[in-house]
Amino acid sequence: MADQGRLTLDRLPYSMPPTSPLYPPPPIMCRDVESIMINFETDRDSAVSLLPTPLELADPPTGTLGILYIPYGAIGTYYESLMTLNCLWKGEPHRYDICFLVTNDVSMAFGREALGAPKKLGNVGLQRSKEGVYGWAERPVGHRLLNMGVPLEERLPVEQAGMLFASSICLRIIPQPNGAEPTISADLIQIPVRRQVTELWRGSGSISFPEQSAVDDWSVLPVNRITDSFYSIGHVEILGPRLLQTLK
Amino acid sequence: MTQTTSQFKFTYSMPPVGGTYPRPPFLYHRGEELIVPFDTEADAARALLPPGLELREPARGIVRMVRHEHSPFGVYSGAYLGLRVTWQEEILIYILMGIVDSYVSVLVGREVWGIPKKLGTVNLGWSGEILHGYAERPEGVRVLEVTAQLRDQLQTPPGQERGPGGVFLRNIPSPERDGRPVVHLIKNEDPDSCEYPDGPGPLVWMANAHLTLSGSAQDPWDVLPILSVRPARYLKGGTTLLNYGKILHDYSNEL
Repeated sequence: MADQGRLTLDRLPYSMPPTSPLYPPPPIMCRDVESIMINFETDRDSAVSLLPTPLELADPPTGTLGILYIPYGAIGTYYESLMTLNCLWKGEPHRYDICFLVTNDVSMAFGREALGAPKKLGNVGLQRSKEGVYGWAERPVGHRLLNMGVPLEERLPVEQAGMLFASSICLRIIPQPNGAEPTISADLIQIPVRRQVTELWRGSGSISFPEQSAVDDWSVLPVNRITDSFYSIGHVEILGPRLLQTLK
Repeated sequence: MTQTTSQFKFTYSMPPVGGTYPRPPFLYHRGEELIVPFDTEADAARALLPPGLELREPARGIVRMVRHEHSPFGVYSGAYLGLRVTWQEEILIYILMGIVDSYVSVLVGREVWGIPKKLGTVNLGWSGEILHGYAERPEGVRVLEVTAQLRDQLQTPPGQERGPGGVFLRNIPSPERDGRPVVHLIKNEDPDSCEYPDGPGPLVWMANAHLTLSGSAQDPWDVLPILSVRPARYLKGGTTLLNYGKILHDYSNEL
């Protein structure tokens, strides 16, 4: 004997599983976020090969490597490393998100499923020391892909924080479950973010890639010249994403 | 400003350069697996089922714990809570929640089939003659604990070792604020073809089991009350092949 289910679609939460969704819908507030960000010039050919059409490469080709510590917020506490490439969408400057490592599954699944941020799980850390603030990213644990450091040399007015962040664009790839063509759906998605910086420092940053990996190439954008390096503390609110274009 | 010339090739999964996982099929070498059915309350069960799935009575929950000895996603363990249902008279197990200790398994499960996995701690191992399994999320908060003792070895016809296949409600959020999510009901391969035909089949035992399900706000594994635990099934060895799923129903336009 069978009986119909009662989980009506209007009661379906934003994410799986329906009984206990892994993450809530945006906006996602993260408080007291600490970060180091290092901007650099890179190779045009390397950059172009990472950028999906119809995004355009900014000139000169520049990218950013960063490490963040999110102490608490709507998707938990975690560390994150990121690599982005500066680009243009219809003439407006944005950053295109190339890769991330994060340390919790909520951030990972929210990033991938809702935003298209290509996050993987890794071992990431950020630490204050007498030389400044330094961070690292490993995957797997012990296999060091990235070291970054920013000495705190010059305290800046927080009004200058706008130069730190362009709005971000991700390419969300979702596989078709049945293998039918096209085997993926690919959407360019803009992620508006509201930031309130409470502390901002500049320093002579450094980057190194101690070990290589067949599956996680964090040196895919060569660091030809570091142009600026920052340490900041503040609040970050991830607002509702916006579909820019579905790619064919 | 420079217009890019597309040198970009899409991968099956994110990130676009060096995707996290390849396309199915995926071959799994089973270490051990324990399947524990239990009788539960029909009303509680019905409240969890999406339209189109029917509760198969008497209402029966299923806990499955498995340790994969080898897989494309490494060595990992998983625990799943399911419910016996029917879809157009076919008996399936609707997966309510899962905890695994491999993050790639979380991603591929959620993104391809909609298996509602989360990352946590899972252990299935022997303590003397007792098979002991548990799942925790976060570490130290135990939502599932099972002990079992093997009883009789079964001579199971090849391909019928695991029982009904799984069915999942896959929900991919819309990138637009008020957009519709993509919601599919998906079943995995027919279980008869799941056991890899070219490999040796698993050894199968019946087992007596004791099962405890607990809950937290984030992981309510006690959502199905345990009325009585049924005889369990233990599998050791064998291989399974997990292929693309089949979309049973697309709810996207009904939202």
